[in-house]
Amino acid sequence: MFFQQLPQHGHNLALIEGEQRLDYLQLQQQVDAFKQRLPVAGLVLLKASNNIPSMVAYLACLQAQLPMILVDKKINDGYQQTLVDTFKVNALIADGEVQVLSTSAVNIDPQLALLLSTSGSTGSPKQVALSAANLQANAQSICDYLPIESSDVTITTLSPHYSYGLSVINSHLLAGASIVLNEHSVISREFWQTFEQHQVTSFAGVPYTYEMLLRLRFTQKSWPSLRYFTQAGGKLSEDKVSLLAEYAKQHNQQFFVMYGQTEATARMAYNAHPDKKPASIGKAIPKGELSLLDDNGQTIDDCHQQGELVYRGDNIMLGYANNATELRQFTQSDTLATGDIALRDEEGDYIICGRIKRMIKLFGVRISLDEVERILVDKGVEVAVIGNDNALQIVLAQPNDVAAIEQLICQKMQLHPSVVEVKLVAELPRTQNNKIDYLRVAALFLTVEAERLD
Amino acid sequence: MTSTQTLYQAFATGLGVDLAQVSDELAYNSIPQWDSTAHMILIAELENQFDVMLDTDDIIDMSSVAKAKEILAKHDVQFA
Repeated sequence: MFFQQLPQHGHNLALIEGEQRLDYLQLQQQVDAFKQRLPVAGLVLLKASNNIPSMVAYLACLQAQLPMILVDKKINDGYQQTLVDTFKVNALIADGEVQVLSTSAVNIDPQLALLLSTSGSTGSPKQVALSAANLQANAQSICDYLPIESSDVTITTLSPHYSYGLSVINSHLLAGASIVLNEHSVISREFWQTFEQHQVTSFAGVPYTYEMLLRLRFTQKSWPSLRYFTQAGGKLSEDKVSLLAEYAKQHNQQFFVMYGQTEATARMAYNAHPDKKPASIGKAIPKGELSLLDDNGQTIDDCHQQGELVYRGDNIMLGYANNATELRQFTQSDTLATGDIALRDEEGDYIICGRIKRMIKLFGVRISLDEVERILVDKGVEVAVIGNDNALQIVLAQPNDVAAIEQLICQKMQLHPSVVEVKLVAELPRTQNNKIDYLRVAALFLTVEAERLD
Repeated sequence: MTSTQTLYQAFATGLGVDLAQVSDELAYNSIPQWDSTAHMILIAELENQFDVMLDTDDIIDMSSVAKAKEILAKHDVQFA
């Protein structure tokens, strides 16, 4: 396992944070020291950010086989308390400090290593349960298809509690490469100073990262130390993929478009040639397998036929957990239904067509349309909420205080007002079962003017 | 509108805050609204309002309203 083999990489630099540097032997020493302070059993809540204490605590828990819920260091108190209560958390770890809450350990499946949330901003306690074997399998597959070398230096652009961000850390530790622990946005002076100082060779980004980079005229500069960059975490528009792929080609770099979900630890597919096929997620990662199922659950063998994308591989989660009782025993499934509709071209490359579930992603954060709708319905508003990865669209059936509605949703979902559009219609289209007909709502939405704010 | 008024209005729109909250002293990360997301919307707003094309260094150096004046001045926007 990557987390047990740190000393194998000797004096290679492992972690860099500001002026601090730890080689792999020093990292293991810090991990050993931290293990002494951990509870012997139970479940811990690790509040992590991209810094050395978080990495040391994460690796110490993995080595000590102490399962953890990994969350953002900036988690709000209410959500933290919900997690502590729901999962009967025994200890909190933040900034290298361990705070024991209770010593009555609940029964936990010995396979469990890590719990990650997929809910984005929704605040649901539902977690994806991952084993050490999941983490190792995915890190190994990633090292098999990305050109990660022990001499590489990557820089963190994503949070460690996000599966994509964590997969960058795990795969680099497996390869014995260096990780610059950065908390600054790619639009900050500090980020680019650090980037140049450490001669960074790779970085990862979600669509929003690349949208910012393109706005920054990233492609009009040359970054000589850079060897490759990766994109995952949602669909980046084809023209932007093409622009970045063209840039990479001209500068002798590689650009990878990837696909994954936390339910598969992180990665499931990668496209190493986005210059040729900007719309595609490519093929399954090494040791993984993708297929398509039709509405009757039958495998689709033909090209260009849409079906649900299904994955098989050792990186499929143990399962979901909604509370402490569900941690007792997991029954791992050998297939993962992704909830995404896709098709396959004649060369075996996959293209995602849309989502089965009503989720959108704004600024890299998953937002459930049903949840936004529920918030408004709870306030007595007759409303249908639709949207895409560019905007959240609120359709009202009665005149209402538009400013107040916008403000409420922006505040609850932590959104910038520019991505929330509110429109008024005479009546919400409904299906025969009297459910809101979202397809017709979407069509109607295009035909009416936006409500003006005073 | 004077250039300063246009600038303040662009910050208010870009950051989604009240015009009254905008002053030369307002700085990146000093209010919760001015995060990286709002920063990019702000940049677009400034480029539109002043019809300029900002480069990488301009964008990452735009850390306060006062700094924005300095940077826009380089692009021939006059502030009284």
